[in-house]
Amino acid sequence: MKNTIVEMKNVYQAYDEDLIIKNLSFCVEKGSIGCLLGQSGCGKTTALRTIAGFEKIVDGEILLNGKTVSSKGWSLPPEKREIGMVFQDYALFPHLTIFKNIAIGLGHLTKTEKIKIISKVLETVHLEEYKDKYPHEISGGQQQRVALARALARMPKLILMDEPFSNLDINLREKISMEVRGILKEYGITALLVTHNQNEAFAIADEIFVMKNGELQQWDSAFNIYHKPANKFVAEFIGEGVLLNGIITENKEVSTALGLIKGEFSDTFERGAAVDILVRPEDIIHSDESNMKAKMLSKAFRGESILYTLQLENGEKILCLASSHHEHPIGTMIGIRLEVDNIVLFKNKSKGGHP
Amino acid sequence: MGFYLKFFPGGWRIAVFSVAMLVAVPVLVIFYSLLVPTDDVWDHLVNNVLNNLLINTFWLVLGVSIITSVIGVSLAWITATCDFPARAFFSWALLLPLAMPAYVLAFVFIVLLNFSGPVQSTLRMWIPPEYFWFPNARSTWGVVTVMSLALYPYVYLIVRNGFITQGMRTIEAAQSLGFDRRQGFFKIILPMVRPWIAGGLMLVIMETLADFGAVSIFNFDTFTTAIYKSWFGFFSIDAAAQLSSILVIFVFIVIIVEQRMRAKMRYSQTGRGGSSVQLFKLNGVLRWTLFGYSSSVLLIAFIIPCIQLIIWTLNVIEHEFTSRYYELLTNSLMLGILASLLTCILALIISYAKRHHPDKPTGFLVKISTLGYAMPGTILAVGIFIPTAYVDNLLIALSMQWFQIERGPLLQGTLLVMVFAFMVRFMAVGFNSIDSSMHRITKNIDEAARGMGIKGFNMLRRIHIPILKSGILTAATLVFLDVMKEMPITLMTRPFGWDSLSVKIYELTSEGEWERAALPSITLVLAGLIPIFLLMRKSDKL
Repeated sequence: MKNTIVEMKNVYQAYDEDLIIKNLSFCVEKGSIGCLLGQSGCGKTTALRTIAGFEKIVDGEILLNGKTVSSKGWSLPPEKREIGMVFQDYALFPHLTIFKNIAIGLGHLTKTEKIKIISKVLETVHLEEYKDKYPHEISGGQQQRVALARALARMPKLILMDEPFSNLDINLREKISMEVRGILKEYGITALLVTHNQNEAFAIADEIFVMKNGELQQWDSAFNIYHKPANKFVAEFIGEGVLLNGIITENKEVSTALGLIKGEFSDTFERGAAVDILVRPEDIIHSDESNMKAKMLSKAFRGESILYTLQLENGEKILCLASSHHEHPIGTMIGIRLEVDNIVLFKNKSKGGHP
Repeated sequence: MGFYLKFFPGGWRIAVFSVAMLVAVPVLVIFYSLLVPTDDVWDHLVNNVLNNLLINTFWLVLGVSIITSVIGVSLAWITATCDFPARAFFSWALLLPLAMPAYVLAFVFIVLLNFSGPVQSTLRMWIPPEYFWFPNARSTWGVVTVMSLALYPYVYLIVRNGFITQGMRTIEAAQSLGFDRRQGFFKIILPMVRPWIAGGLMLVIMETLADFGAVSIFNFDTFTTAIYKSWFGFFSIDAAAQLSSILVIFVFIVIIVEQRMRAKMRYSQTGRGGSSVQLFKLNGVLRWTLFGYSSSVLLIAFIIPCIQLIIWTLNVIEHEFTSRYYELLTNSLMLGILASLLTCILALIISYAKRHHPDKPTGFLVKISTLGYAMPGTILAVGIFIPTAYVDNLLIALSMQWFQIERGPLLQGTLLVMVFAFMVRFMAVGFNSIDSSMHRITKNIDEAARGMGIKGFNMLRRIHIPILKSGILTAATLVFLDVMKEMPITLMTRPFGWDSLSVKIYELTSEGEWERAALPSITLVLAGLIPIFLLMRKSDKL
């Protein structure tokens, strides 16, 4: 039997007249790590805060552990929800030492119990020797770990994290998000976090909820969100890639500026339908022998590879990820080949409206 | 010797050193007088007065501290975090009492609360005489109340800033750790904003210790009034200096605590505040309770006194709005302009010195130069009078000896001494706003300008002055208005028979001529509104 920790059921949230969240439904299972992903202003942080109980909802229902905690006109106070929260700016108490920052949330325990738990969580985040320091005396990454330790110490059923890595150095983010994932899994704590950074989401989450304008766009694994985007927004928001114009021909083929493409279609279309086909940079293989040529407009050197922006004969642009051993001057024609099995297609409503 | 060689290459350092010495002289003179043998007046003071002064000062400081922190913190919390009617209005309006000098509030209160005043008269109409009791306004509680109402905005302003930068996030963090809002406030937020509360309180205590006008209207003897009486009543400048030296010790304690609190506030800035500040939604009764509380404070501390002043002014305007008033006004304005000119020029010099030499010795000298903000005006008046008199006597003796010319004092009782005293007192006010705009001229700006071929005087004219302009203007305005309101220095160092608005208020109120004091008072209140509007403009989301 499934054990659902958080469940959002058709939740609406609004400030004054503006709807921030529209009909949002998803759930996170016990022990799993969910991630709300979207651009800033998409409502992801608000969604998190409704679960924490800091925001009231105008319609729908939120369940924690099977019990309703928010519904239309009713809200269980945040402190009764048994949720741990890691804030974007960590919200450590500046007047307390690291030890006391954690201890203050363990008010009901005896002193020995407190010391035992705090030593354990500080060991987990590798900060035992910092327990008597004040927050301003440690680095941002360390503060972030203290915030996590403070939430962990109470052994909540759910930990919410609001952009937990956004204040960290960019080089540290992926490493720390992997570490945090390890810690959460070790403690078996369910978590839901919010981020605008897809690499973070991929690194930490079991399930990703892509949001736009307060609505859920796709709820899936990282793999599927990248390879099987549910709609054009997700296709363009996640990863790099372009949408090429195409027409469905007979025999399950698409006619595009890259020629006829065949394979597994993500959706079925009638013959003659105008479609957009998602082409990722790694789907375009650079090969000097190929007959198909494209003009190189620009290139970005990335060390192990080069990302070329190419122009096809009909003017459409595509991206091509090639080994960085090849070096071609800008403006030359280079040979390319398409290699794709699962073809992601969307219906083209306004034909020819893509870059 | 090595220290001096290392320290003195460069005019900026000599300049800041000179200003620091000028400021330090009056303070050092006061300290020195601790060592001077005592005279009869001093013995009289110790035997009959000192005990009383210490007790009065103790109760005054304690009472004002308690009331200002309760009023200031509670108002700061509700306006920063709770949703209630007219919250945005109260957020800035609760600062308005800053515009009212404590001595103005003091005499208005005395009249409103005395036996024949409107409050007691109204109460007597309702309460039968056998049950009627009303506390005497001219008492410790009266002074404490008036000073608290005049000074709570310091706590309010600073603590509110603490709540805004820290409060919302923290209360949410507290809730996520299982505290409800009330527990979160008392167990986490309040301890957390302690540096802010203490910082605001230290300013309040400085002002309380420095106050001369309000306590003298209440005939409440404190060190400042005793210093004045020793000098102008017993004509003993030595006794005045000795009283000052005791007071200055208290002041130094307060300065040290204040500096430490400032450092703590800096540590506690965790940067980025909350992105979306969400106010607490309250039920109807509570909303209107908060509204009632905020409006009562505003009414009692500002609106009612203002109305009373306006009524009096209208009563006497025919007799008072004369050339005599213009003379007072001109004197006050002139004094303000001269003092703010001198202060701003020196503040600019110190600020440049600090910019050119961002090292410890310079920082220390800058601290000394701005020490006067904590010094009660009475102490400075004494501390400046003594060296002035010494120089004057020297000059008189020399002119007798060398030229056989008998002449009076050159410096004593001149505007020059007065303006100098104001500079010492208000240097911090001028320096802080100039220095904060100086921080905007980074080294990179200089280098970028030089890269475009702008240098020397052109750099000053085209880059520095435009950037500093608003800071200098703010500094000049603030110093100007502080000088206009200032009472003890003006009273004690003015040229003979020379009156300003504040001195006139002192004279009229000590004769019980309340109505006639209203016109100069309302003038000062109007002028005092200017810095509040400046403050509001600066912190757009107050």
